[in-house]
Amino acid sequence: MAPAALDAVIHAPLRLQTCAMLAQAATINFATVRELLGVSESVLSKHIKVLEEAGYVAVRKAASDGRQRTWLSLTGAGRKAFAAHAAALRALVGDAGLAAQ
Amino acid sequence: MSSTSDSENRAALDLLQAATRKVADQAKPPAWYHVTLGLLVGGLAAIQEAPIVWRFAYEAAALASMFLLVRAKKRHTGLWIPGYRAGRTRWVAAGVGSLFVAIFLLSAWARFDLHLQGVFLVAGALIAVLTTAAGYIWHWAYRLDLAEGRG
Repeated sequence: MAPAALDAVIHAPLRLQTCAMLAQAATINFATVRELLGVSESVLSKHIKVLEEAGYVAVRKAASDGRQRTWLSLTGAGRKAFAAHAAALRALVGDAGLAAQ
Repeated sequence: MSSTSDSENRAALDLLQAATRKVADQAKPPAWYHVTLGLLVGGLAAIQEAPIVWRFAYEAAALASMFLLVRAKKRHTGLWIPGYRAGRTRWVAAGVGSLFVAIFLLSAWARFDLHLQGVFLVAGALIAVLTTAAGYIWHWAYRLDLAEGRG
């Protein structure tokens, strides 16, 4: 069987967590993701940019109550890539667990 | 990408699961959301015995209120999850929707064929309670889906 392939774009810890969050919702506010991850706006922006350039994340800005809010969502390609990455991780961890037994 | 160690992979999987749990906690709507939605949906059934002008007025007001309610919930939780998302949640949404249609049709039959008075009020009260309960059940199903990596 071919070894499970990890996606380098997703594998970085912050991007992995961001994708894991976005995979469970249609859209999440940028500020909410930042709070849940406990990182600064600039750090998260940098990682979102990488995911956006890879075509994994869509960024939408919308005005609400006189404030500009940024909403993030996984694209179709992003959902597929994240699902494959999570499956690969589970397979690798599962294989390692079996080998250790 | 280059190969990663077993411990790195396990740590990454732990991070992934922790992030998923955070979203499940964050997605929990406030109690006022479930109760208000229950009253609005129940009202749609209860109003059916009122004159047509009142019915239309209530239906328009209820739809506008639901729109505002969903917006308030989205602002409160900072995220949006469709009710019909795949997994157990879809079964909860479909089950509750079917139950409401059944209650409504049964009420219409009882009111217009059997000429029973007040059945829509009873149906409205029942639907209000079921909608409120369904909100909590849906979120419980969502947490369970996420814990099992479903949906």
